Amino acid sequence: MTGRLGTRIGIPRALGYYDFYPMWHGFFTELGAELVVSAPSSKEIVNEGIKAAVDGTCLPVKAFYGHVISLCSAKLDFIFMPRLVSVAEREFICPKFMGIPDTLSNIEGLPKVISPVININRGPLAFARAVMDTGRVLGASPIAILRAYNKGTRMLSVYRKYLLEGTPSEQAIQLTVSGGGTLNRARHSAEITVGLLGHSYLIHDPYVSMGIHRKLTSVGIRVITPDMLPEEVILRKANEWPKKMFWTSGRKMLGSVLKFLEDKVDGIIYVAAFGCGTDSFTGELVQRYANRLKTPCLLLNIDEHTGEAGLVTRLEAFTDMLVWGSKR
Amino acid sequence: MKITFPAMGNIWIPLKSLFEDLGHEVILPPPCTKRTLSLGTKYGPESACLPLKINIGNYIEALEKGAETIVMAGGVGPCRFGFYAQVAKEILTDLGYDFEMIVLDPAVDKRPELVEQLRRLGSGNKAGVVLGALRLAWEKFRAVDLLEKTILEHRGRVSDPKKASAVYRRALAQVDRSASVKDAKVAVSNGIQEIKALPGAPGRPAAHVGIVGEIYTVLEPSASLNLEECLGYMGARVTRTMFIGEWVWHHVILSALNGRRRRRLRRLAHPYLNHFVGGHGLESVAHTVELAREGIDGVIHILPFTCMPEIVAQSILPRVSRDYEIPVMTVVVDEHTGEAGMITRLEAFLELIVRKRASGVSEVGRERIPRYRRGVGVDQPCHN
Repeated sequence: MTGRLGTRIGIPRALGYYDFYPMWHGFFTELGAELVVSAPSSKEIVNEGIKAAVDGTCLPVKAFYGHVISLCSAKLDFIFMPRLVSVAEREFICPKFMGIPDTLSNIEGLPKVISPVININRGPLAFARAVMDTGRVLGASPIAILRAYNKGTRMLSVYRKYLLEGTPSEQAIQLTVSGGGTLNRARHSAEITVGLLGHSYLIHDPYVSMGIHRKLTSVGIRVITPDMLPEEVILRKANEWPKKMFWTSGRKMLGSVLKFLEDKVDGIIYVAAFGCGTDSFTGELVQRYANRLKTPCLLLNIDEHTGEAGLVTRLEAFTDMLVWGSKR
Repeated sequence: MKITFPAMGNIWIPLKSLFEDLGHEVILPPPCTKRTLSLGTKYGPESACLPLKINIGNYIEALEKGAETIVMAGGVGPCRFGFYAQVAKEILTDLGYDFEMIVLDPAVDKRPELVEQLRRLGSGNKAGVVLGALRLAWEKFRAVDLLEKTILEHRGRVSDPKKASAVYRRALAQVDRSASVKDAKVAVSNGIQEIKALPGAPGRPAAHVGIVGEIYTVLEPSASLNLEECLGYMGARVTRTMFIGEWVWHHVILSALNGRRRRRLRRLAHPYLNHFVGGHGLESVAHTVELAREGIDGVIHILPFTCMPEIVAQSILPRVSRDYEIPVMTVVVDEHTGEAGMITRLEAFLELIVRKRASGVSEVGRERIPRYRRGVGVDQPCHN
């Protein structure tokens, strides 16, 4: 058994990874652990997940299963799988996130699991306890844990800043983890701006989303994502809705689409996971709001059967339509 | 106000009584038919869960009948039900319907609105009238629960299940008509006695089946394609873990004092599911464990396609099934579910559990499941 230093902790490159990895990286490396992130999504990984998961599960969760399975052979001491219940007050992520450690517990060869309950609804004390419990698994002292937590939050805010500038998620994580560096962003004089909506674990995972983001930028379209909007703008716009949106990602979608529509983007693309409960409602709202303002809107439902060729055709048709529309 | 509300099993009986006693006109959505579901599927979000689609169909049909106000409940998440009213409102508004929606929403930011809306529903009645209306409605909730429990218990036992269903429906109609608490009580006890007195058939009930799952699909026959009734006709005694009156009791009246029940559910679900997952996901796991411990023959887990909390339960139930050696069948329903396929699966499942039971006791011969004949007693075909 490895001691405190060099404890190997596995992190699946899926779901919460795209929103919180820098935080986890800062926290665990500060405590002397070695992080092993699963390989980027691939056909093999996702297929393993599809075999292990229940049919009705959405693709991103199936991919998560696959990433966890791929980590089982990595000689790990632990695998980090927090139970993300709520990351903002009176909000939830999604029931499937809440059940993840339980639904995955029967995977063969699964290393020990660290799964603190992250539930902001329970108040700051409960959150602090979750952080402390996590650190204590590695045998760290409370002071060290606190220091590690601070490091984690710092890294997370650096990461968010990169995202805000429009850095793609993977690259932003690289930059954050390696401690900065300059980024040569391609400044293109795009005529067309498209708002790209979708869960971060969907639009930032190039395999699962079939590289929609890159496909759009490569044809000279300026893409803005919810990650490029400041938190307070999203919150303000989302609050215009008659009821508090109790899904964190749903609030992000709703706030962003209202902002995009206000800024008069040329088109909106919503990437939804087939079978995703939150997308089925927020996607509906996004389409309705876009339609009311006569803004072109494309809803792409993605699952494991979606073919890339069909997706490209639909994207091309949509972007062509936007180009013609702007020239009229 | 001309009030309507969506269908969910027998909830219309107490709610109709409540609103009428408060002086409103109640326009019930017509019984769920293929048209109801087609409307819901056409106008509802494609991958929304089945209950929302049926709701939307109900609203449209009720508005066509002249309803002006829709009363609906809300929620605080994470289940989608919390946004049913808002999404339905956007859809109906875009369709050009002129209506008002009263959403009884327990969310913190909606509390002042809730008070205001309750006051409007009370429509200036004296406190005594309101209390009387509530008392009678509550009695009807209980009546519905009791009658449902009895029919589920006995339909699989009696020689003429069709007759049992008829008695049950007659008793329900009588509860609906009763104008006082006493009348309702009499209607229930008469109904129960009559059902219990029906002669049994040899070898019945052939099996004891539990039903767990998402509340709407459990309670609303048109969503589950008359699952319970089919099971009864096939000779199964059915135990259901969710009843509308009990639900109201736990969630509306006792919600603050609900800790003990929640702790009990958590204990039951441990170690399979260790956290609340919204909706009735935790309940489904806990109740399956409970039924298994009570020695039930098999459990049917029913959920609408894409239901988030129940997918978590569905992922976990195979382990409960293995550990307790109890057959669990998951039934996922959506607008494409066909009655014939459902019946085939139910028959196969019952055959399986009857054989399993028979193999445990060698003298007992294999009991045959009576074949279900299409259309027998099923008077609300929804999907065909």
